Amino acid sequence: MSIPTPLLEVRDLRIATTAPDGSVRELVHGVSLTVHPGEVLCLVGESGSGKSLTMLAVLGLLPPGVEVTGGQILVDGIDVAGLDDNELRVLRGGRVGMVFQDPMTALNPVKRVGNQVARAVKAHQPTLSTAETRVRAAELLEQVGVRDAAERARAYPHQWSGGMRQRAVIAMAIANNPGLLIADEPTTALDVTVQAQIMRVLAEARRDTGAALVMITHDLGLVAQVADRICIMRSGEIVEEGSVWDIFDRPDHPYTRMLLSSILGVPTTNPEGVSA
Amino acid sequence: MSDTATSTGPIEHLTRTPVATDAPVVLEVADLAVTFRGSGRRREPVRAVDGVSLTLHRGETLGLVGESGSGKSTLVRTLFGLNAPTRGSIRILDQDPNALNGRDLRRLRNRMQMVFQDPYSSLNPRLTTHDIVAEPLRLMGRYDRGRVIQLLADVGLGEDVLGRRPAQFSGGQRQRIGIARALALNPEILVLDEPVSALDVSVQAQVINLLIRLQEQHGLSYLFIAHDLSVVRHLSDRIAVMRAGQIVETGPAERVFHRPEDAYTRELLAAIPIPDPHRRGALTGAIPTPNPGTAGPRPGTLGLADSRRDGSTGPLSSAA
Repeated sequence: MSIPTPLLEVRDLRIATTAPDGSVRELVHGVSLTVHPGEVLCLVGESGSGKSLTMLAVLGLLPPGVEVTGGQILVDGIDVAGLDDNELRVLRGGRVGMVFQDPMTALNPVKRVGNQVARAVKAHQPTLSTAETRVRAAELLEQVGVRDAAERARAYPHQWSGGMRQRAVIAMAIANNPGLLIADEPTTALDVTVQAQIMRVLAEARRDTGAALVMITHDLGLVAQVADRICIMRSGEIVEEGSVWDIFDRPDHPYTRMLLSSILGVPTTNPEGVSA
Repeated sequence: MSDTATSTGPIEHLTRTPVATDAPVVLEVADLAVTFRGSGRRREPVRAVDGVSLTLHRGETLGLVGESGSGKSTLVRTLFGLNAPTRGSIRILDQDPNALNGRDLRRLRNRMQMVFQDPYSSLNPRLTTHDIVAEPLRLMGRYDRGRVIQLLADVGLGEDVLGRRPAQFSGGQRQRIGIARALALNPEILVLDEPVSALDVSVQAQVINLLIRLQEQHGLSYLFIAHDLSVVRHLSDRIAVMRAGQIVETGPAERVFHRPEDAYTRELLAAIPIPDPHRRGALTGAIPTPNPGTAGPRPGTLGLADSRRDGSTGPLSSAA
């Protein structure tokens, strides 16, 4: 059995910010990680641990004043640093789909939802006609569980609930059959029952497309439910990496153990199994 | 800056001593309704709170759980007199706030204080920690620097923080300042509106431990509002589940957790992701998975993770 090329390989990544006075502060100190086709990698850490920065760097979306200062990012074996703006645009939303935390800011408030999904399609398949794009957009919305998609696609984002908006964002992320989905806290802004629906939608989208998933989260419950592998990040470093079983059953690093010990009130019985 | 920067030891979870159910009632809400004028073409009235009855006993924690739009925030606003009730009654410490005004109303309000969800927007960024905690004391003409220092010590902050402003603190530290401010006037009831949901998990545990300790020290009664059932269960004596303006279920915390009577409560419980990879599938409402034992099968052969690989339409699609 041949070893497949990793979909994403991050080698010794360093990210730093330069203050107006010229002083440089390193935020990510040599992070290395690998994502293989089809797998789910969860990046876990508290705010400020560098998990979002690492993934923004993969997409070439670091905020102004923050730069990659060392290391390599390879997507399908190609170094992202060597790509120009156009090639990066082909990568984003094409080979790599993105789902961000807050669906309201990810969507344009003054454009109809359907048109935004259509635009995600057209950006990467410019030969499609407008009618074909519209049909494809409706198909994508149906795929993520929006009923009567053709009709509801005419609504504006504010007319949709948070869960529906996040479905639209996922539809845009999978529009061009990405090999890799990056989801940064995709359900943090949502109610717990809606979160469960969205995680189902994500799982189904991945089943349909075969995409790998890198999910950034601090919710250890979600991690235990979806991860194949886990990287625990703290202060710009990966302190522990392992399979979901390694991390939950045999945590090694004191910080991982501290994180696991902070879990509260785990349901001891499955309420599904309880009869009324 | 993280609260956990200095310690990485495992977190001990404090547990509470249960409260006797015959303790006196400090807060009583009976058949409360708040209706807003509707918007849109049909202008249908919005029944944000629709006949809610609750009691809170001295020293007790009542967890109020509900998703966004369930009416819990409107209920809280009404308790503090920020919305007028359309129907029903509120009794706080045996007094009707709607029948009081002026000094009597202010006195009653001192006895029930609020801790807000967002420690970023609920502290004035231009005031020092000292001034934030001193503000309620000054308003009541009871300022005393020693008391400010004592309040900060109670929430685990030293004198070195007095001159610092909110931006210099982490979320957990800010929430401690918010709690110190709420305690300044020696209240008997604290209404905690999602006090930990904006915090990282390990910081959540620390703030919850702090709340448990303060409750026992000061004999406080808590109305604890949250959407996170795990947190609520950990610190509540009783839980009330709210949906669409109504309480659908009330009961002792463990009973609600283990034997939920209402279908919506069951749905809420089933949606909690269980932080145990050996019990996958609960998140999706899928069939329970066999315990793979310590060796563990390959991740991704269970629950959520599997359907994508083999293309099967098992639990996932049936659950959707």
